[in-house]
Amino acid sequence: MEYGIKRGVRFEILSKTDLERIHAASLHVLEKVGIRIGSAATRKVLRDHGCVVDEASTLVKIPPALVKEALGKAKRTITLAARDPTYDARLDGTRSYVTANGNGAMTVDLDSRERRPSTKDDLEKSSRVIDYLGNVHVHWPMVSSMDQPPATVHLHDLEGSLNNTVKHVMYETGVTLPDAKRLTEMGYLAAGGEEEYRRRPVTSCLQCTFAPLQLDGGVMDASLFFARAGVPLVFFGMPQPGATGPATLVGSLVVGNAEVLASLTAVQLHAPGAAVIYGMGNAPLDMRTTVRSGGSPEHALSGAMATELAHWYGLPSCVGVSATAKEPGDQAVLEYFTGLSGPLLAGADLMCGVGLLEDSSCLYFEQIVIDDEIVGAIARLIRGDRADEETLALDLIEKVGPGRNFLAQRHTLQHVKSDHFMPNLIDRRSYETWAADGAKSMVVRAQEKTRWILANHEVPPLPADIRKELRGVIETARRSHPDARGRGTPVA
Amino acid sequence: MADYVARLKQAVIDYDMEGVEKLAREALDQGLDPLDGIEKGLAAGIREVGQRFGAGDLFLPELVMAAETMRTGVAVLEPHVKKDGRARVVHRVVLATVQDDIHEIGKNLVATLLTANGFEVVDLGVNQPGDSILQKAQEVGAELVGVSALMTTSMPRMKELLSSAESKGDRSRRKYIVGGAPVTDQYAKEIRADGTAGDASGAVVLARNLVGERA
Amino acid sequence: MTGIPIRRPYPVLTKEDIRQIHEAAAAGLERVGVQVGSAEGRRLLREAGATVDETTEVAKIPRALVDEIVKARKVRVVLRGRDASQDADLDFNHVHLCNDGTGPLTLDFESGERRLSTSEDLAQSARVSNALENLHVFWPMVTAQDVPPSVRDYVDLKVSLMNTPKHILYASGASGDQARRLVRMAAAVAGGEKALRRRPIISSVQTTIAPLQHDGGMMDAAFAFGAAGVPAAIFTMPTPGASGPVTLAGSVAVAAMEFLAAMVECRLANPRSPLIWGCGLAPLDMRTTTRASGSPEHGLTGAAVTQMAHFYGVPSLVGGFDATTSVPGTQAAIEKFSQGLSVVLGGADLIVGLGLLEDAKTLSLEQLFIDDEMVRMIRRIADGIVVNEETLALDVIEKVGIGKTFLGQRHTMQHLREEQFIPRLIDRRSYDLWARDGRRSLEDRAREKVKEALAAPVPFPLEPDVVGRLDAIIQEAAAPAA
Repeated sequence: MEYGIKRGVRFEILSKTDLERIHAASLHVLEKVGIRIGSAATRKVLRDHGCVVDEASTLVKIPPALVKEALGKAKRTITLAARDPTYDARLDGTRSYVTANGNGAMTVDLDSRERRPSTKDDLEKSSRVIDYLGNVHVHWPMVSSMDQPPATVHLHDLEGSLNNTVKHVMYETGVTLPDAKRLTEMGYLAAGGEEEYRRRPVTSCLQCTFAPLQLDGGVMDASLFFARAGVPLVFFGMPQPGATGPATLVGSLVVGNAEVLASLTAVQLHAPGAAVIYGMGNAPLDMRTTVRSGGSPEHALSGAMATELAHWYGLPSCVGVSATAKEPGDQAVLEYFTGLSGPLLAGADLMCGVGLLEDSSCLYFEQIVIDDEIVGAIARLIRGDRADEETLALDLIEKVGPGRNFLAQRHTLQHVKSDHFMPNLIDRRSYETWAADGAKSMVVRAQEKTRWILANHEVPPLPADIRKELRGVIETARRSHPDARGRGTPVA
Repeated sequence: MADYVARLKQAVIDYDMEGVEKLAREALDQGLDPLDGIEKGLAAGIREVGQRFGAGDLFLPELVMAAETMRTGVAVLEPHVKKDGRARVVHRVVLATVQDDIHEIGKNLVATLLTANGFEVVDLGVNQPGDSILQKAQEVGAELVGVSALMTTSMPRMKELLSSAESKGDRSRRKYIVGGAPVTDQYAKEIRADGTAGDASGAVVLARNLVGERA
Repeated sequence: MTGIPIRRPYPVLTKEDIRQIHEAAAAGLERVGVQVGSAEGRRLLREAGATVDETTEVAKIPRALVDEIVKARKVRVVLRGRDASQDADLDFNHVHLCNDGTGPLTLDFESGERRLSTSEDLAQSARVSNALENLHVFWPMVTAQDVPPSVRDYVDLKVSLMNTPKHILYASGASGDQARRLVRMAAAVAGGEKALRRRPIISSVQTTIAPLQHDGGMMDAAFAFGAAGVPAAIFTMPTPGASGPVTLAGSVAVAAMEFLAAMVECRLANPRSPLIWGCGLAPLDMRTTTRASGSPEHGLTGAAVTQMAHFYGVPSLVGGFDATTSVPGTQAAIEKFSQGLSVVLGGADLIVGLGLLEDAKTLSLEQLFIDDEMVRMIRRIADGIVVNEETLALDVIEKVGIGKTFLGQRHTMQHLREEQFIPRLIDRRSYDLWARDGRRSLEDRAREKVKEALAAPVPFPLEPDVVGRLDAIIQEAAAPAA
């Protein structure tokens, strides 16, 4: 299976002792400080297994032994299946996978350049771009279909995604039990039935915990349901260093880790062997602008640390990147490169997510394509360098000798594609040639490429009957909640 | 006395959260006019801190600690302010996250920055029904009401609040501003709010404009 | 002392890789040899036991000789500034940054026009460099095209000395005579030859020609610098796929052969000559036939050569933050980041590359600040994480408890600066504030910094009589040969 980025660790920052200390600190927090859990069902699961639960304050204290038991039940290899098995993301520790970024509320129109609320059309188009790109492996509905009736927005997001990419679709919108039921139903339909889905889940849900030390009621109710229904989950801790977590990065990891461990424990007790991925993203609060510093070195370091901790637990890791840049350009590159390289060099299994700007709230189509190129460069860095007879090529050096060149040697052609990064978007032509061809900046070339993809790339459609049934789920939802009383998605 | 006023101002600038209570009590014992202590001391200090933060010279935690220092000092001095004496010129703001929404860090940042800029903030917290918000605003004589939502499906609560305020004749008594990640300029205009801003610093600019201060 | 302290380097090669590369290089020097253009170099090698063919000029060097030279007492290399606080000690524990040079072209700061460089451009590049946070050594960024070729290198040095107090390093010695003249200029500024030897304020980069060739004049210059105590960086540049095997390890082996041969010659001439191994292994892009200097491979090989250099007991000088594009922007950022990341993480002693575009041909003053911001971000990543009681902050977590904030805790302010990268150019404000403030891009903000830097006075200006002495030496060079 050649999909994804072959893992090679180039960046290690925590020692075994560090990891043990972090784990011990989180266990201490869970046992002595506790965690507030808004879901009565979750509190019951934990109480039934021996936790101290105060129903009035909803505070739950979890003993270390229970966490250990839950970690023991956790699934180590998780496959996020795709409609087309070629694109399965098999999280088994040997490969890293990059996902799209999700749930932006605004889009900058590719043609008019107007910055406006996102539509379902934007959602569908961006799904097709993701489907085409070779360095983005898993899809996440990139924007919310804001032009649809409120109660059905996220169902439309999923439907639009399933219809426009064959890659696995991870969403972040299963935040209440009713939402979870509908989203699961759609997943079952897309896979060809519940049994087929349980074997090969083509959708999954990322759930955020709520720092410091809180688990949202609706989110946990949904998660318990998802776990029993066979939907893979990511529990993603997001304490913001300095604000909802200590300013020290490792202190915030301790807080987030406690939240993720608590979620994982509850789920494993409720549905042993459920597919749960360990997620963490600690971008600090920028203390001068009060904006979340996505794409900061700290964000990258937190992803690298969390990856090491997850792997120590025997779990796949899911980490994130975002950018505070307001438009494509140098700043976006600096932030995306920083945020992607740290965790990927540390071997992150699932790296979310490319293509949005303004702290993951605004879609720029060309940014998706630019980020794809950045991932390509980083993948080359991960591959690294090795010295053996074939690569040292001493015989060849002797053959060529002083003063001649290697261009005409077979060895050169044989190895050039594997040893050298082949850019898709970077233009390395000399100044004269580039200027004669219109002196196009990379952003302009990215826009052109996006238009090409949208005009030429076709995604095999889902069978007609499945498409009809998916629409049916949305229609039922719309009719039963005409004025949008369900809980919606946190746009963050 | 001038010395105590200066020291109270400096305590805020130095964010001496632990020492300000003792200083304030000592000042009162020595005969300090509590209103001077608040307005020329503590409030003057927080305004300077707010300015320096706006200029990029200070960091948010310093602002938060300074605001905490001011709050502690005011809690000591305010009960001693004569009710029939000079009134404090105070712009009061009521803040809340709308019903069904429990996200508050953005609102909290706005509260901190408004306090740092001399506003008196009454923060109702999260998941607040519209009626509670309107009632509190009336009770404290707020000039400004700010509501936030992080979730797209909580946003309709903002529209409801504004309609309710309209029908009570409240729109003429105070200004209503909205905020939160999914709340755009367009949406704010659509529901006819008095304004919105993209982050806490922008909220301060907006608030100052609305209460008539130079931004 | 300047430089970014390395907490831990991130290696690209395993110990076994290093051993294999060395084995291949040593065997290669015995079997294949290097073409040595310098008669003096050939003489030194022959007398030390190498097999030298005077017709082809190829010298085959026995392994034992290589081992003897490598194992000899190490020579410390400190690049001194006229301002002593800017000394760069290449001690294997710090990463130092240097600008790229010497470009014949400049993007005009006012008009954006791409035109030939002038002395004024060089002066400006030095003054902007003075304002950068992470620029430790100055390489004359452009070469003055408005100056006659016969004196260009000397004028470049003079203009640089006049506009920055940092150590000056560049590719200058094309012959023994030229090297000696440059040494005289530096001595005039340092206060004499002895003073220069004690505190070398200049150093030189001598480039070999791949595969496996040492130009005569180049090595003669290296000997002259060595005799004066001026550090010389032997810069090896096989282009993988063209002048070196396409496989990166193979090109590193070719580079090692070229360097080791030069090191042997230099140390035979002068056992205490300060040497640096310089390397720029950027592949040939096989579709456009240009040198892919802003590539991941260029970075990986720089990190690999750093490890090899330390194995041989010398500091490394590697390319970093290069780009093939000719304008600032998204492509430049991606190319520079993809290359620079590896060499900073790999702990290279001296990284050359800030501020130029178009494979080191074209100067962009804004790019200097953009590259500096990139270095600052990578530096934070390289610093990593410290785990101890204070950073685990369990007591603070307990104190704050559930659902509250850490913003008002003293612990937050105490640790803010060491834990968080504070941007200089990156603008994190929300869309509304940014849009109201003019929608300025990163490049726009870099331009403002350039203006501030150009307005600042030059620190440690040269005395007029010293400038006079430099002019006299340059006059000599301009005079027609007798």
